Amino acid sequence: MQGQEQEMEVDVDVAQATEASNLLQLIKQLLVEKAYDGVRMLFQSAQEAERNIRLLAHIAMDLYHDVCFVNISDEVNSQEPELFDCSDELLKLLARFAPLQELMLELMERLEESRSLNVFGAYLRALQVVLQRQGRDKPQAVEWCLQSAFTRLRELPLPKYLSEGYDEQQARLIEQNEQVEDLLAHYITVGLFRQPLCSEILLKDVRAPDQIFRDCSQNRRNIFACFLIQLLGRPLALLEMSHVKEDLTRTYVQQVTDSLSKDASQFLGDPFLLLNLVEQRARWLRKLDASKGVYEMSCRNVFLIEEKLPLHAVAMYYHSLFVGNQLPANAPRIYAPLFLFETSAYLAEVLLRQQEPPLQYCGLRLVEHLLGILIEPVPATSLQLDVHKRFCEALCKIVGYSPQVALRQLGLHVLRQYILGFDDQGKYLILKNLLETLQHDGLMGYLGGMYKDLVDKALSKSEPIPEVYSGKMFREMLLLCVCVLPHDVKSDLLLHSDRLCHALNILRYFAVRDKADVTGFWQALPDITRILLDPLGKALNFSMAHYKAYKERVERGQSASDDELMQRQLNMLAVNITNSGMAGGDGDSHLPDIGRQEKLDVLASSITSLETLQSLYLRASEIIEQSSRLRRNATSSDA
Amino acid sequence: MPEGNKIDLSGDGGVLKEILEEGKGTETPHTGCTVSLHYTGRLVDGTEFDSSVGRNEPFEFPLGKGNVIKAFDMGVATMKIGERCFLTCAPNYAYGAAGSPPAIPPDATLIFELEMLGWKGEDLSPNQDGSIDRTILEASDKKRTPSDGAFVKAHISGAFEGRVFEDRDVEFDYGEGKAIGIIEGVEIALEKMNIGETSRIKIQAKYAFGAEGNEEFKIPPNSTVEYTVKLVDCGKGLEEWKLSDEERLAEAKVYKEKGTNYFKKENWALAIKMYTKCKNLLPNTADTNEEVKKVKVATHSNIALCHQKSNDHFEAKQECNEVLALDQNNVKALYRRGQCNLTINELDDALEDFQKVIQLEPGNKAAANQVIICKQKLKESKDKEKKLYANMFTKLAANDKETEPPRETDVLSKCGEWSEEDAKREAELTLERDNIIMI
Repeated sequence: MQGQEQEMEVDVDVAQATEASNLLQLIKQLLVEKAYDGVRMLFQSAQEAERNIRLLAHIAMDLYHDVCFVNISDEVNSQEPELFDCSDELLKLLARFAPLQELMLELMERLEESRSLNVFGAYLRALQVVLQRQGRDKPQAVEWCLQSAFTRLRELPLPKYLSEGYDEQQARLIEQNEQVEDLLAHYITVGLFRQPLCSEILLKDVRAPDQIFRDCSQNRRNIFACFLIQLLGRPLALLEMSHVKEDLTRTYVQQVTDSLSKDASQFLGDPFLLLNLVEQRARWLRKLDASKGVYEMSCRNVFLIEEKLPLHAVAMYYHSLFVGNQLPANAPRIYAPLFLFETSAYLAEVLLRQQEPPLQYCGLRLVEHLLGILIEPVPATSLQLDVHKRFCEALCKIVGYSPQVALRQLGLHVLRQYILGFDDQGKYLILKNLLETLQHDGLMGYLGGMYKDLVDKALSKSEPIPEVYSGKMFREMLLLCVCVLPHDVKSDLLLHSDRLCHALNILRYFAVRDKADVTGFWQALPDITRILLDPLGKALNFSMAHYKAYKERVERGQSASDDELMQRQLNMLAVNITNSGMAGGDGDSHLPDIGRQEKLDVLASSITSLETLQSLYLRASEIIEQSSRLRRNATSSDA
Repeated sequence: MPEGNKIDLSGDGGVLKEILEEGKGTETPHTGCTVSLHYTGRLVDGTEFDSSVGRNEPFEFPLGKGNVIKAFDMGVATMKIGERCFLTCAPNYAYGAAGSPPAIPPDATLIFELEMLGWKGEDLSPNQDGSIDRTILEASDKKRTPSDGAFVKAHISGAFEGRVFEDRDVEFDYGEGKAIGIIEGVEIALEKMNIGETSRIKIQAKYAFGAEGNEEFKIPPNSTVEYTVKLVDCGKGLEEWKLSDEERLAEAKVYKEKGTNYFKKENWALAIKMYTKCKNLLPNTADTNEEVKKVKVATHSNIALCHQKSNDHFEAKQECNEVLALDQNNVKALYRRGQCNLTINELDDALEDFQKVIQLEPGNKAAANQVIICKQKLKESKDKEKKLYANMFTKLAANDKETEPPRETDVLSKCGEWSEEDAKREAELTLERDNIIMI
């Protein structure tokens, strides 16, 4: 009996295979005859559809190779769009019946190789069907499929200026660029692709009622969360500079970003979940050790693996949540603002470290936002975290040297807000450390001025002045960091003019403001005179004499021996130009020889700068002298 | 709510707890544990502003690390498993005078309803496989942790099945703990400990005493041990990124020296670690700076020697290749590579290396001896091969002498014209002649 049954089954199989093969021939024939509706009828008409769909399982891969693979191409799409569409529909249909792994591998390859949105879209639709069939099994395979789609997105050509940075005007027009448009269209296609999958995962891949802790291993839900966050990184992140605060236009970039971060938040459940892991990722590098089976990919928590979840993409996710205002309405509200600030500092530092200005821009805005939500000053103890130092350094590098004007401006604003976000002790420590380590003269001058403003504010309050603004700490700041002439009398005054101007202004200010010597300024004055004022006076006289003599020599045509100095001055000027964003070019390169008149112009400008510094010097000395006299008189009258 | 049922957790009435349902047992979670619970937060007027129940997922967070508002950390730390309670939090233990607009108004008192689901220790293992598990016994508000090369002062106490097998103060440079018998698991855990912190660390065998166990401590193979570690103090690590080229070179030399010290103590693993650190610290100016090149060559050469000593001849060979890429006539590297080749039976390569040594240093007796050994081994190996082949041919010849079935048809002449019958016959014939090697 059993034998007979088996025989019958074999007979049925053979019969079906023959029927299926005939169907394949018929489809091919119909396509040759361009009878596309006929092909559709085969799978849509009430009489035919059921039988033909049943037969598809037998011929799915043949149909794929003979019809879909051949016809889903740009060439066919442009010459015979109907054939392309028909093949596209067939592909989606056969994806329901083809052997999963075999078709999956094919689709992955085709996705990566696709050269147009149409082809990419066609294969992605089929992949959607395949992934729905795959379900929760083999999350690794799901991950590879998603990576194929991402690889294609990453390889799309983009205008070069996206990586070099762009200004607000360019940003407004960014979506008009064809390549950007194409990239966004790809992202939107991926959005359509993932929607049904996301809904299914959110419905089915939920925590069991008795499962107390979240499963962070490689499962479908986590893989999708990583994929979505990865999509928020490059290349999409390069377009983020176009996001203008308080602008009512909802750009495509924003729409794509918002939808990605919304989905990612749903997958994570608690959108702050990854913040708990940021410190672990950014502060302590995993020590790989093959002998113990510790490899990059061997970690059981997928959210700790850089390749699956790049930190810059995580940072962009939080940028979208905070700056883009995408925090879900039901997000936990019990996280401490200080924790959010400290962990975001890690992420911001990661963004500031990237080469591309748009990413740096996002890093700045992330910190700016989190500084705004702090409810009390950051305690100085937070500075024990190494990240603050790294963040400050990266930030100062941008403020001092970024060719992007907008970045430098925003950077300076953020630096100021950042310092002011700390308690007094913290403010002092940051300022002192920066003044001790920075090289940028203008920035050092600015920070010195900031300290002066802080002391001024403390002086105007009725409470006793904090120790960081008076006595030993005040004196240390002034002597070691503010009133510094780097190479004594031999210092290049023009190079350090910004800083020296600030230092002189600070001295002038304290001489006027603090006659009662609350800060200890007058006690420090003899030392300040010794290390700054006396040598500066001499240096000013020397420099002035030198430049005037040089100018005379140029006027008489005898300046060859001084040309090296002139070259240095010009190079310095070039650096300033580069920094101002007015012109590109390398500040270190030598400028071409210049003529006599140009030399005279440069010398005149140098002499003017020296004269300004000198007048400031004289004014400061005069005021110190006046105040000192007043103080002496007051003391004697008291006596 | 009657005030009498409320427990004052903060001492100033800022955080009050009222138990709704007693939990099981007596244990409460330690600082650093990952806690899982359900909570619902309400304002005093009953407005719900946040709830994990609404999200349909328990809330998880590391306890006592300041990740959540103060009151929450404080309250959760006192809960037993299964416990349900109300937590009333004054503004200064929650969102203060500023509030958290729009949901939480300024100066708001918050009431949380909590249900403790469970907690687990902190997994510090690189693979997150539970092989190093920390429970913080005494937290610290300091935030500095040891980094590579930093001076570390700690007290460690190791126990196996309740028996303390070591209890001592230790001082070492982070990364070199092995030199004073500190197991890897403790060193990995120390990296994440704050100054002043005391933690209990459960370490599985692979990060403790491995498959060998420890005779002195009477620890059997593959045992999990438990350490209590207090990080007393630590210095700052080396800030590599800040160093100039000269400083990098100087620092690299310090590590080279350390490597040599460990080498002298025959601690090959640490010596390799230090030499590798030295190598990584060196500036990328080996092409232009003779001194950098010299140190680099010496470092690779020393690493090779360490690998040789620990019988990792492939790794040693790689290091020799590195040296020879920098200095193709380096006699030491050629000699060492020769030795490695000899050990891994790459005899021709070994001979070539030793001959090159003699070419460069005609009087090198050691190399001359090695050449003799190589030649001897090559000869032996050739003899062996000869014998093997000879045996093979003798056997084949013997087989050939056996009755060879007559060939019925000339296969080639009819190639492509076989009838099915011919093919069948030929196949049968082939099966009969089992010593025919099909090509």
